[in-house]
Amino acid sequence: MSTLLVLAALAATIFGCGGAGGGGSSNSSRQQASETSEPSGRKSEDTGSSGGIAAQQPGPPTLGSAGAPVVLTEYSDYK
Amino acid sequence: MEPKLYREYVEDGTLRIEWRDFPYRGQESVNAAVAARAAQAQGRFWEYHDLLYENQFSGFSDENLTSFAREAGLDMRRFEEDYESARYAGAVQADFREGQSIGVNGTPTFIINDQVLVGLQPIGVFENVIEDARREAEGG
Repeated sequence: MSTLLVLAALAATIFGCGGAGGGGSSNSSRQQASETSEPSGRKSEDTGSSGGIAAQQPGPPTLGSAGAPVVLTEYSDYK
Repeated sequence: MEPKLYREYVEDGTLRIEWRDFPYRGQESVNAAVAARAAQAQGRFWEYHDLLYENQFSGFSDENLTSFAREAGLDMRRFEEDYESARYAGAVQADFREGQSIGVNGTPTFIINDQVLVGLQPIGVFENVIEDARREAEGG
């Protein structure tokens, strides 16, 4: 029982930080969901997940070689 | 991203493009980003990304996002589970916070090595910055 309580507290600590993204205006359930995943990624996508609860979110989508001398990072919104 | 840049620089290994979500235009922006990450989990991020841009004026209702997923050829059961549970909201949130931490306050914002470009730019601007960054990276 105590183990369950500890796990619940740990989960609350990790996942309890609130909404996603900026957009910033809403607190929908989508923004509050737990952070587990099993990203598969395609050949050029770096999902960047490797062990640990926090690392289970996918890494940034990418195109191109990991060793490319030039990296273009795009911050964007679909709207 | 401009297909010409992909052909000119990504295919030959010069350029790597990294996407960061910066959904600051309301809940539909956030939902679209979360849906795209669900597509990423199935290896179809860029296909879904392109559909979002092609259809951005039709809005990003749940119905539309689901329709795009179908069009992208996703496993619909898995997509709906991931989207409805916001399984990948954390990744979107992390991107947004990272952007805020480095001063991003509008989109699109591009960072090419250490050069920042804000807003849409002519293709030639990107080419010049990429060429400069390549020369610098190669020690020239």
